[in-house]
Amino acid sequence: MRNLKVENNRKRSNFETEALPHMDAMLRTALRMTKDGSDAEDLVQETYAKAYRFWDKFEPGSNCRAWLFKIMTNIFINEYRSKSRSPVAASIEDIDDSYLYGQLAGMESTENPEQRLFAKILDDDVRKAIENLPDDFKLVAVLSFLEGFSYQEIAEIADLQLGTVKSRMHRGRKLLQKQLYNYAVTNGYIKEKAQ
Amino acid sequence: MNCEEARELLYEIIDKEASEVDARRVQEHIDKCRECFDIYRFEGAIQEFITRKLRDNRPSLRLEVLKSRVLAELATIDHPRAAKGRWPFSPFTRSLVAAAAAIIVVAVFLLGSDFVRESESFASLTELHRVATRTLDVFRDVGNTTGAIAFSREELTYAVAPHVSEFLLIGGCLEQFRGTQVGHFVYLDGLTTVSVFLVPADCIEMPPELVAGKVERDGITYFGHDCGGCRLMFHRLGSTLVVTATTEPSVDLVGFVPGQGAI
Ligand SMILES: [Zn+2]
Repeated sequence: MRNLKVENNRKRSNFETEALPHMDAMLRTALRMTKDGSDAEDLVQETYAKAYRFWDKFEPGSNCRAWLFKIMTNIFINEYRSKSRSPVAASIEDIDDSYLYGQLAGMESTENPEQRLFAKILDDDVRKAIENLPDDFKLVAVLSFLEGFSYQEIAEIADLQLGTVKSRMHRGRKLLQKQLYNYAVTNGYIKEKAQ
Repeated sequence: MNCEEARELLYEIIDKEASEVDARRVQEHIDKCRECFDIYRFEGAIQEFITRKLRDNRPSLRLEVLKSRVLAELATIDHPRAAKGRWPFSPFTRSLVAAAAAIIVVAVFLLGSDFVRESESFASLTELHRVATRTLDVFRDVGNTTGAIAFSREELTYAVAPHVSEFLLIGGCLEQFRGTQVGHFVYLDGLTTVSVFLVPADCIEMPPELVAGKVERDGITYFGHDCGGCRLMFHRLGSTLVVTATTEPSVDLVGFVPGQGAI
């Protein structure tokens, strides 16, 4: 009984040292993924509870952060992912590569066309643009942009083929740029380019 | 390398996924090609902008509360079957326990944030109430409750009363705040709940606002504090700080001080 207790204490302190420091990153990603503060907290709590139960499956010395994100992604996909498919995905192919550049490049000959856009676009616009991406694209974009995971790490975390990660990143970017452009036009930061 | 090939590799370069060979070849191309250079510079700037905006988040009280929730859950995972079974309450009583959640979280916030430093955040209480309802299982657990009572007796020399006038003890648990073990008990009378927190007094510095508002009564010092419809009372009992909290104005919190009405 005493041994079990010692064992438990060691497991617990191990877990607290290795896993708990990643909570702010987990929460920040969860907030972007779920859009809802309470859901995000529930998601992170569930992730930690599950990680703790399976702590003996974690290989010491391997990447704990990636391991935690894998668990969280799994729970997110199974329990939190919005059920309704976004219809927007169908129109992605119509968006040109480097969409924003294409829209801004032709405007009055400013040296750095992005500067006036950056000056006007709000933090919330960027967050909204990310949050409004369809879940599949949002997941890889958040793991890459926000957490800096490599394509290979994302493939493992989200259980995807490397090629799928690449193509989702690509298409997610197009949508994101289109959205940012739309915000900029709607809010009057820039005038829509005459077609 | 031609323009088409250079564009093909654009995002792999920006995401630092391209091979060294490709990166070098792209570099050589954009050194010579103005148009590709502009696109690379633009896309790089956009990417940097988006990442910066996304990462820009303040450390939040939310994280503190979440941490305590997680630690509480880990504790229940460690001792799941030691005292299997729920505190025997009817579903009706249980829904009342949810009402206690508001108080729980208010007080938790105070403890978790050096008391009142960030008290302006109390505006978002509605959101927080839901957070607390998740932890109610922790209170209903007999093992947690008896464990918390034993801890309070042995470590904090505080005898947890099974009832205080009309208030009945619903349950309790141990929580961790900033490395300090805190006993947390919930009492219920009709629709009114009171939360009692027991904290080693030397771990916590009393905020000056509270010290300024102190009241002496029958040789005991009370520190009153009002926030968001919640009343808190702090008093020191030897080396233990007792924090009592309720949202009901008519409750006499003095009764929760041992020797002042508690049985
Ligand atoms: Zn070129």
